[in-house]
Amino acid sequence: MANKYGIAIDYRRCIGCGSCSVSCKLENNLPNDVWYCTVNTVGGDGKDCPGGSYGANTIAYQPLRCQHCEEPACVAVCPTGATAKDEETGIVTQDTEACIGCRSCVEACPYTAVGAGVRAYLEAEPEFLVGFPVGNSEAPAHVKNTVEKCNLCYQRISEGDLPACVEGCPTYAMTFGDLNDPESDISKLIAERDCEQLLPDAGTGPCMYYLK
Amino acid sequence: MTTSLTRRTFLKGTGLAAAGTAIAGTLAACSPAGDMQNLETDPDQKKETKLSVTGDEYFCTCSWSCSFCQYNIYVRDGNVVNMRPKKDYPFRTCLKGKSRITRTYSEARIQYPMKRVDGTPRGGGQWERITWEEAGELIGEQWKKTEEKYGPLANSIYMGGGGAQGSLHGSSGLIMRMFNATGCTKWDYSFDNATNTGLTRGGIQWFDQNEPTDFVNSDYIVMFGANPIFAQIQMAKFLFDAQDAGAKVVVIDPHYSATVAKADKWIPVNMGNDTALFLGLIKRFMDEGTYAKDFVMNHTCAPYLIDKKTGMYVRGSEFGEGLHEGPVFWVTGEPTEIDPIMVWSESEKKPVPFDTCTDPAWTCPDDKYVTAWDKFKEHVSEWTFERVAEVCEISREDFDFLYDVLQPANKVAHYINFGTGAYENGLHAAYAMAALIAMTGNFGEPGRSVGGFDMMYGNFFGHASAVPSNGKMVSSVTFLAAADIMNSGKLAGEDYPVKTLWVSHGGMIGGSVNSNRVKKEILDPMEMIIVEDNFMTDTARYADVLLPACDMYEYEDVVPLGHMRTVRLSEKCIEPMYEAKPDAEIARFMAPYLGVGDVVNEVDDDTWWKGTFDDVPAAVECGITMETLRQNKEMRYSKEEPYIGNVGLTNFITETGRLMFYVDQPAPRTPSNYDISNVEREQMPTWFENKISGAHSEYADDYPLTCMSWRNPSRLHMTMFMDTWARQFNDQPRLFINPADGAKYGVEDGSEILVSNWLGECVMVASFNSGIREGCTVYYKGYAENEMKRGSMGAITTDYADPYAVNCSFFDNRVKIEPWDGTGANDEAAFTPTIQGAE
Repeated sequence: MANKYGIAIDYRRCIGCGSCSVSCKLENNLPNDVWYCTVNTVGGDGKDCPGGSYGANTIAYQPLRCQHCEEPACVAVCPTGATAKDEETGIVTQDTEACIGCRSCVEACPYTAVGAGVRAYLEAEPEFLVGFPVGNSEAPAHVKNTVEKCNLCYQRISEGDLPACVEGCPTYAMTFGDLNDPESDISKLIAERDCEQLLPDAGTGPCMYYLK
Repeated sequence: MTTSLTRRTFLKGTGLAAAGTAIAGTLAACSPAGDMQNLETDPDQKKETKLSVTGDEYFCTCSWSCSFCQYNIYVRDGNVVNMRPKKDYPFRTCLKGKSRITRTYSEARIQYPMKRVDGTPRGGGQWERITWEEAGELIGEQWKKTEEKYGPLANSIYMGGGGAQGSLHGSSGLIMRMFNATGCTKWDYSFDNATNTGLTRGGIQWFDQNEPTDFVNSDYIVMFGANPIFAQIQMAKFLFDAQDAGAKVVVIDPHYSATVAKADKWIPVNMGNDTALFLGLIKRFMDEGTYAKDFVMNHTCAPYLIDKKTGMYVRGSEFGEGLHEGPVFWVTGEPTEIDPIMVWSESEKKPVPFDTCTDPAWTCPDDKYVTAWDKFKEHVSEWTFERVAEVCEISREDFDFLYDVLQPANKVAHYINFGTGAYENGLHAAYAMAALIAMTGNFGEPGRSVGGFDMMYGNFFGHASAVPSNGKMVSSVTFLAAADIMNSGKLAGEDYPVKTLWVSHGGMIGGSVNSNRVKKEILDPMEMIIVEDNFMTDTARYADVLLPACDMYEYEDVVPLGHMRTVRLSEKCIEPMYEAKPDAEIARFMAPYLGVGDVVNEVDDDTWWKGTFDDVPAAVECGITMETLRQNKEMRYSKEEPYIGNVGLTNFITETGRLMFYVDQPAPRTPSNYDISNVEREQMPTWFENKISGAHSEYADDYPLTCMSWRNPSRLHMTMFMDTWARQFNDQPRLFINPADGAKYGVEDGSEILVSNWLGECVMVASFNSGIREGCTVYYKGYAENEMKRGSMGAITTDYADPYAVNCSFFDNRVKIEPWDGTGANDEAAFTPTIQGAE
C-alpha cells in the first residue's frame, strides 16, 4: 500500500512561537513575504491575544500549511497538472515549471480562507533577506508568476529526514508519519487522542490532524 | 521538484517519526553529552555529512539569555547557509536561532571602525570610516589623557547582555582583563538583580536547582515571576513532559501569559504585591502548624536568639565561646570560621552555640532575648487572609489552593525568574519567597527544587585570566548612580569625575531604564563614547567611535551557561566578516593603545582555556579540557543526571549554612548613593507598596495604567531590531490592553497610540487582550528606537530603585495612553547611517 504522509499537531504543546515557520523558511530558501507555514491564534482577534474574559481566558495556536488532502480541490482545478497528488506519498505537489500562475488553486482551496500562508503567488522576481541561497540546496526553485506552497519537504523526507517544520519544533508539538500505517506514531496518536481536521465538511480529506 | 520526484523509492517512511522523538537523557556519568555516535571525532572526516543539505557541518552555540542551545551549522562557499538541531538532542533550535543567518548578514552590521563626523551631533548618523590603527590612536589618546588628568576611574565601561555570553569573547572574557588592567570604573548594569539578592539574603542559591529533566518527578511546578513559555521556550518541552507524567503547572501571574495558557492552574493576583501573598501563606503554615518542623528547627534560623535591645543575634563571643568552624564557602570550597549564633537550650536553660545544642527552644523564656521564630511569627501576624486579599486581590479559593499545593508532602519545583524582582519591592518578594520555602523545605530530592535563572550554573567555569597580572581591577559602581555622579562629579561625597565611556555590547540606551536621562545626563557629558558591537544598536548610534565586533559564527568560544549542567563548544564556521574582530582580538589589539598591551597579550587562547577549566573541580573531575571539548562538542560537568540541587541540604549560602528569615545586619546588594538607613525594614521580608505601580501611588491619578513587559519568542535583548525572519512575527511594538481600558481611554484595537509618562513617550500599537488585568498594560520588550514611530520604549521606564536591591525596576511603572495623531514622529533619516569612505 502506498504511503499517506501527514502531520499531527498537538494544540496542547504548540506555543505559537513560529519556529516551524522559520524552519520552513530557511530549509526552502523562501523569498521575502513567502511562508509555507504560518500560525493562527485561536482565541481573541489579535496575535497572541486570548478569547474569553479575564480569569476565564482561552487560547490555542494552529499551525497552518497545505493540508495535503486526499481529495485536493486544487488538483481538480489546475489546468496544467502543475498541482498533482503524488500517489506514492499522498503529498500534494506543486511543479513550478508547469505552473502558469493562474491561481485557480488559490481560489479552489478551502483552506485559503483559514489563514495566510497556505499558498504564495510570486507576482515579481523573488527577493531575499540574504544575498545567497540558504537552506537545502535540493529545495524547489522560486519562479516569478508561479504559485508555490508546502511540499512536505519532499527533498528531506526522501532522504529519511523529517519535514523542517517538524524537526524545528522546540516543543515537540508535531508528529510526522504514515497515516496508512496503523503502527506509526501518528496513527496511534490520532487513534488515542481527541482530534480534529480543519473544514472536514469541505470533503477534501486533509492529512493534517490537530490533537486537542 | 522535478529532480525530487525521481526519489519516490526512498519514501518508505520507517523510523521517520522515531528520529524526531528520540531524546538524550540516559548518559553515563561524565560522558560526553549528546549522542556521540553521530559525531565524527576525526576532523578530516567532519566535512562528510549524510544530511540532505550540502555544506560543511559545525557545532555552534547561541550564547543568548534564553537557553544557550547547541546546534549544527552548515557552510557553503564561505557562507553560513543552514542550521539544524543536533541529532538526538532535546533542544531543537528556535525561530530566533534559525534567524541568526539573516542577522549575521544584515545591513545592521558595523563593518569597520568609524568615528562620528566632526561637528555633527551624537546620534546624527554621520560617520567617517577609519582604520583600526586610527581608532586605537583616538581611543588610546583619550583614555590616557583622562587617566593622567583625573585618574583611572575617570575612564568607564558598561557591558550588557546583548553580545555573546561565551567564555573568551563574552563580556566576562579577555576584554575584562584589559579593562581590569586599566583600573577603570565599571558601571554595574544593575538589572535582574533583586530576585537573586532577596533569595540570597534568605540563603537560597537560586541556580542550584534540579535539571529540567527532573520536572517529571514533581507533583507541582509553581511559577514565581516566570514566563518560560515565551522567555525560555526550550523549557516548554520539559514542562509538557512533566505534565504528561502527571505534574501540575501552577502560575502566579497578574495576566494570562503564554505560560498561564499552558498551565493547569492560574492564580491571578494584582501586580507587585507577591511579598504580601508569601507572608500570608507563611502565617497560614505557622497558624496551622503544617510547616516542616524538623526542617525549620534544623535548617533555618528559627531557634537563633536575637537581643531584643539591639536587634542583633546573640553571639558565642559574648559568652566567652571561641570561633567555630562554619560551613564551606561555596565560592572557594574552603571551610569558614564563625562566631556562632546562640540558641536557648531547653535543658541547660541558657544560650548555647547553635551548632552544639541538642535541644534548642522555639521560644526563649529569658526576656532579654527573642527567637527568630517568635520574632518572625509576630512580624507576619498581620497577614491574615483578609489582609492578603486586600493587598493582592487573590481569591480565598486560590489562596487555599496554593497553600495546599505547597504542603511539605508535595514534591514542588519552584520555578523562579526575574518578573517578581522587577519592582521596587522585588528584593522583599524574593526574600519572602525564601522564607515561604523555608516553611516547607522542598529541596534536595528528585521533584523538589528551588531555582530560577538556571543558566548561571555555568558561572563556576572560571574566568581566571580576566584577573590581570598588574594587580589592578575595575571598580564597580551601579549604573543607577551614573547620572547623579555625572551631574555632581561626586560619589558618596568624594570627587568622582568620569569622562570616557566604553560600551561593550551594552544596551545602555533602551536595554536599560530611562533612556532620555541616560542620553542627557550620562552620555552627553562624556568626552568620548566608544561602542564595540556587531550591530548599529541605539547605543552604537550614539557613539563617537565605533569598533566592529564579530558575530558568533566568526570565532571559537565555549558557552558554559545553560539549562543543563554541560559546557558547549561553539565552533568557528566562517572568517570574520568585513573588518570585524572577535572581542578578545579587539582587546589584544586595543590593549597597547590603553597602555596595558603586555598584560593582555601575555594570555593567548590556550592560556585562557586552561584558566577556564583547570581550576574548576567539576571540570577536572569530568575530564573537560579545551581539547576534549573540541572532540566532544558538549560535556557534562555533573556526575548525576538529572542533577539534583542541594542534596543533603548543605547549600544554604549563609554564615551558618541555614535559611534565614531574620538577618540582623542586612547589606545592600552593591554600594550606591541611596539612603540605606532603614535597616529594620530589611531584617525580615516586609511588604511595602511600590512607589510607582502601587495602587495608592502619587502617580496613579495622572498615569492610571501600570506598565510591564513580556518577552516574545522572536526577540532577545535589544539586538533583534533588524529585518530578520523571526522579527516578522512580531514586527510592531505592541501594548496589550484590556478591552475595557481601551474603551475607557478612547483607543482602538490595532491603532497606533501614544504611551507616555513623566519620563518620556513612545508610540505602540494597541492590542486588545482580555487576559490583561484591568488597569494594567503589558508591552513586548526589546524594540529599538528605529522600530518606533515616535519616542522609544526605553524612555518610559524609571531609574528609581530600591536602595538595597539597587536594581532597575522595569515593571514598577505607570503610563497614560491616548490615540496618536501622527505628530512628533522620529526622524527616520537618523537611523540610516551615512558613511564617508564606505566601500
